Amino acid sequence: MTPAASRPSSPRSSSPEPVSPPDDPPERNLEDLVHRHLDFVWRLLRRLGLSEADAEDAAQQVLLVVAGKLGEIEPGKTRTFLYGIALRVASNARRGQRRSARAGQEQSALAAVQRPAGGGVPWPDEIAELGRAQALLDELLSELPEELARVLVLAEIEQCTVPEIAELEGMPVGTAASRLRRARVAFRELLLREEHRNPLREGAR
Amino acid sequence: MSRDPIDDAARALFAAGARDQAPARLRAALLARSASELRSGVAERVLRLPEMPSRQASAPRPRFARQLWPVLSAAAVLVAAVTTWSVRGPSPGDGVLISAERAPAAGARPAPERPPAEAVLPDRVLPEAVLPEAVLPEALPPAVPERAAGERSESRELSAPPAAPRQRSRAHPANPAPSHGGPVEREQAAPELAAPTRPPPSAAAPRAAPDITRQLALLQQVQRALRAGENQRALELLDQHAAELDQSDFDAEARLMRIEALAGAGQPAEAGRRAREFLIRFPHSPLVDRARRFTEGAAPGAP
Repeated sequence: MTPAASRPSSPRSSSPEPVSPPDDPPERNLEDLVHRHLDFVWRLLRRLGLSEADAEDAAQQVLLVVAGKLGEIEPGKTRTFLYGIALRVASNARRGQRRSARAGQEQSALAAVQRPAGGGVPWPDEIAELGRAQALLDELLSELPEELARVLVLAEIEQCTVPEIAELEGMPVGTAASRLRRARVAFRELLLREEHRNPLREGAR
Repeated sequence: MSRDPIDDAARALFAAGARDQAPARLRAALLARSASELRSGVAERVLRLPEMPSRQASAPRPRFARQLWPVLSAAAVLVAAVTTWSVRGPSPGDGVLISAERAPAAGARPAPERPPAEAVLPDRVLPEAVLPEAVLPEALPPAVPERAAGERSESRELSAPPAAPRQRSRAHPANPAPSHGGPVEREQAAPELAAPTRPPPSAAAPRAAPDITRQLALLQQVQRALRAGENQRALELLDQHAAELDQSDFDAEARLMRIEALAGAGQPAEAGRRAREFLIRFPHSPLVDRARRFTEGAAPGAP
């Protein structure tokens, strides 16, 4: 494999990073992991139904474990590694967590204040709207079979391509494509049912 | 992408999910920990931290070993005493010193006891519960059989707690079987570009036409080339099959891969130009932010 460091750099943004940015050098330590992957791990854990408190503990565990294995991870595979460990840690965390029927409902406005990824500090009504939207998203995802929710999160939130999803999930691309298709249709059905609760729909603002 | 069932309302929800970021306190705690590790130069602590409970819980020393250590300790004391006596020769008071000072030390901390405990570490760096080698295959639950949409929503409504089906599916990661695909998924497994497979006709998979299988195989080859840093190879593949991919369901993905390959091949201006085209052509694609990364740094005409 060509050393990643020799590749030209490209601009970055606060948007979700791709599975393995082709231009990034390998992560060397925990700090690199935090800067590049913490949000990915955090979103994944939250969208997979962990409460904020559990997601904090789980994210720490995931990053510490991977930091300890950095020397053994093939270049470009860090995110695959993180993904696999995050799934396992999330699964363990959920066993000890009494999940509410409406996952993510406890999403606090305070937490949303910390996430003005779109730039600037959001207005209070925007914070509330964002919190409600994320809660609804988590609720709908929790109603999907987890394997569908995972590919949907990877495609629609983490902006992964189908081959990248296949790589992360360790499945053939055909399976990933088929699963993503089913996930989108299923999510659409769920959202149609709950459309009136979507604070971001046209006419709701 | 144009046949994507995800509409604007769903997209807005996903965009809200994408804005979710880790709390600042978590980021700060991890960075502080990283700095502390670097300062103290004991990064190994990171390695050992998660394995502590697992060592206690899952690695009890065998009983015969526990019974053996006192015997070995006593033997070590005897050997040490005999050796010292034979080397230094008996002199008044020496025997008292040896038995009084060395024997308790050897008995309390027998030399051979530590190596086995340390030797366990490399293999037990991680608790088995988070061993990454086992994660991916095991994390894949059996695929949900293809069902009609109506049937799925009906069964969802009938099942009382929404968490129930998720809990069931999450119990599967312990299953060592990698993935038991349903009919659709099995027939699409491992597509090969060189010899495009012809999936048997299936009523459950009207869109699983051979061309889609081939398109996916193509994309996977491009992806492998990108992953390996072979950007020129990725571009060649995309060029060879441009016509086929442009008409495919994965047009946007192929174009994004081309943008990434161009950027990786040292053509940021062309990557930027194509990224801007991408944003115009696929304004609602979930990949727009990835494409936008290449427009931000590559002004038109930039080298």
